[in-house]
Amino acid sequence: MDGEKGRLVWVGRRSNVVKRMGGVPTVFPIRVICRGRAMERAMEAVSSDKGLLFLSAATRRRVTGGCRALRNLTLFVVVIALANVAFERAFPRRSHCLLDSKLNHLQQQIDRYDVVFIGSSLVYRGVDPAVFNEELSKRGWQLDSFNFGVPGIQFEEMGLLIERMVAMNPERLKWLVIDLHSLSYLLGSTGWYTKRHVAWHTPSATLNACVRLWGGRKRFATKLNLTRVHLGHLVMKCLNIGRGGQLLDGSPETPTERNRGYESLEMSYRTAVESGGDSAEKQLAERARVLDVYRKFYSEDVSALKTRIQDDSETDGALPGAFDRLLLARQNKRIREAGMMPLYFVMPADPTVFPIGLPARALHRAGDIVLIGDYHDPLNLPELFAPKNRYDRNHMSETGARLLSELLAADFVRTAERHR
Amino acid sequence: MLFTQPIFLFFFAVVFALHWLMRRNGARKVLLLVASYIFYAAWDWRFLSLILISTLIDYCVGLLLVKKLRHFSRGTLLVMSLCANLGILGFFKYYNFFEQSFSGLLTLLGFHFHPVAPIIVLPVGISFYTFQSMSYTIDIYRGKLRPTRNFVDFALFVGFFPQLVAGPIVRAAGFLPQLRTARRLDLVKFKGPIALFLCGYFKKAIVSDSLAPLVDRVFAAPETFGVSSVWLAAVFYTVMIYCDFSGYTDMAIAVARLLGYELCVNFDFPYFARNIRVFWQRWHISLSSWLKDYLYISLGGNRGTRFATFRNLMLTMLLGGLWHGASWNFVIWGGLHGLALVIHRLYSERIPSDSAARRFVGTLGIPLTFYWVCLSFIIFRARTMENIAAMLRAFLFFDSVGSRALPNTLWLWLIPLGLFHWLFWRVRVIDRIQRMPDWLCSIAFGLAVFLMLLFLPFEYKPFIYFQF
Repeated sequence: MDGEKGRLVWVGRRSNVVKRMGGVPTVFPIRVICRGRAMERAMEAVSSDKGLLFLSAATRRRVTGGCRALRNLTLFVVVIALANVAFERAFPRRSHCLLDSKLNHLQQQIDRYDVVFIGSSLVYRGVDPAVFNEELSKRGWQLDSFNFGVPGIQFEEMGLLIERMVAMNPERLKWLVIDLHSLSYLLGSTGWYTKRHVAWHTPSATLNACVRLWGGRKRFATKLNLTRVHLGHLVMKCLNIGRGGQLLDGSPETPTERNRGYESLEMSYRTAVESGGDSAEKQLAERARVLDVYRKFYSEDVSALKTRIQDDSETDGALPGAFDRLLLARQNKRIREAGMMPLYFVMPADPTVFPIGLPARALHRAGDIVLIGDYHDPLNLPELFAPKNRYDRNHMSETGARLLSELLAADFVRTAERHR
Repeated sequence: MLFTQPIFLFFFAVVFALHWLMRRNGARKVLLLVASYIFYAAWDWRFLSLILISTLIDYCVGLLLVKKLRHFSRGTLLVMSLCANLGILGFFKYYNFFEQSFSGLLTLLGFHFHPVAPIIVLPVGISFYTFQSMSYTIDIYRGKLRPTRNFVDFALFVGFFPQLVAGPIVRAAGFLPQLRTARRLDLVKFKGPIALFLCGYFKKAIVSDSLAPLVDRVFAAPETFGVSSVWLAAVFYTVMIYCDFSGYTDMAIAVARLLGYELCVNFDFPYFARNIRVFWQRWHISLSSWLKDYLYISLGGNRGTRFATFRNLMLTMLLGGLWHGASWNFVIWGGLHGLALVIHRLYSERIPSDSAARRFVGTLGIPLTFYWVCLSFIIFRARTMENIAAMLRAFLFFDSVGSRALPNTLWLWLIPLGLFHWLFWRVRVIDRIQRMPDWLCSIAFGLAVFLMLLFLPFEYKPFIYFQF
């Protein structure tokens, strides 16, 4: 080492920078190399050999420089972490306009509702709580329900929502009715790095999402890319990236909730026309185009669809992966612990995009979930797939939502009576 | 791979660690060369061949220039090198421009000539490394430099990744000697480069990328905006292009310093220049000094008649404008600056330096120069003649029929930006930071990173000067 004579002695983990020079009276800064037990061991090793430990000036510089760099780096990281924690406390994250408005509404009126529907835009546009309540009252059940459908919700985000709901300590809320489609959703190719996606990427949610991703059937490159995207979201959340600009811009006004969280696509269209938005014409044209495709599909490809349903029904008995079942079990446990009952259903969606044979019934048979109904079934429930009941290929129209809500109410009563 | 992207930080962390873990200088240089090529290949690996061709030609010509050859004179060798370099540059950067201009001219004359125009992708940074490589052979030809025999050294000089795609245009005389001696980690001052990198990051990712959408909106349809918005867009673009380019340069210099190498300064607070001549001594210094040394002086500089001097000035600035891009906008922009330099030269010759008029104009020098720079950048940035006309009408004559407007509160952004810039100019903050205690720097850097990430716009935008 640096030209001095001598041989290395073993001193704890950092022996490579420590040297013994027999009989040379040289003082060395051992404190920067090892502390505590390692120091004692070093001294023992030295005294047993009747020598002294020695460090050259260059080595000393290297060691002290390394320690200083480590200290500075630690300080740097700690400052960033503390600043982010302080910022997060001072300015709690607002995730999304619709999500926030629904959460705000629930926060204020949590003791008004008995049933909350949770799911993606399929639920948001497809379940009308007013119709549902009406149907229940016809059957002698006086309950009030709320639609917590949020476009593109993922299973992990749903977990976060449930946590937020549980934190509200609802006294009256007894039923959480969850669309099982969300279990099959993974981060889509559009809308990455939105405020909402960033908001739910807690470390545990990110880990769950990645594990589910790698357990799925996507291509290796896609999995790798989506993992990078998930980690990017996590980093953005932890470091509050871009939130300063959002704060300066001012938060958009949270709209007040009408219709118990439900808004059909027709309503959205009408609102856009009334407010003079230039997207109204585009929306109308888009709807006509999509429906045209849908009609064509339904009239021409229905035989192919039936074949496919037959094929899928054979695999319907298959249970999802162990990790998905574990997550479901955790979610159900959390809901039950909060004094609520988790119920599941499957919304009718585009059969060419969403697999028909969702494992809902298998999960139900295995006792993992309580299934109200599987409505994603064009063979047995063709009226839910008729063009007049669809706004587009995935979403229900107002008449479709009414029909579905009635069916859902009837099935809900049957299920709830069994589990009351 | 942009300096502001997380992938670059990962890339650099690996290169940095490996570089300083290696003990032999040769191994380090090979590592840096490989890293530089990976850095470039991340954009498009096929265009690495152009860098290699350029490198090989100038390496060989450099060696041959000091040998006595029977068949080739030194001048022929130099011409061969220049033709090869300028040929590559001309084809990839200017082919379509000259083809369109030529067919446009013929159409004006009544001929119809429409050749098939190939789709040519402009290789990133080609103007920078071509000029750098050319300066090496010219310096050897002029006897100012001895050629290097070490191919890795020369290849690294051409392709060193911090300055590969957007400069500064490094001279061999300044860089090759650094490669001969092993860099020492204990001599690297970390605080200054880290502060410089953060400063560059702030300029590019926060200031420039935040201003870009506002500027783009106005420049896309200037006739629909009012006078105040056009002025705001012109001033913002002037700020934006400076922050974009000098931010890149700051990061490049900082990255090189962290690896133990020193690159030349490229910007010296040009918007505080008192006249256009000083502006060009402070703006894109590596290019302006290159143009001066290899073009202006080669044309005769100011040694001939006054007319010849003005002609040389104009030619240099016109070609300097064309260097920025294959478009008439850039040529006109260069011409405007050439004109301003000629006027300034005339003014300096006519008006004595101690006269009252000179002192009066001197006090207005900074705003006048800034105004001229803003005006010229309108032509630099606008994409169509209609846009240029609309912008200039509003900027010069306060005339606009547009009713759209950017919020006037945006003018207030200029106050902190101006103060920040002025502070860095007067106080030399980077030098101060270098002298600060380590612990204080760590806290300051931590807070700076936190704040920058907080205000980071979501999208990454490429550096403006990459396209040149």
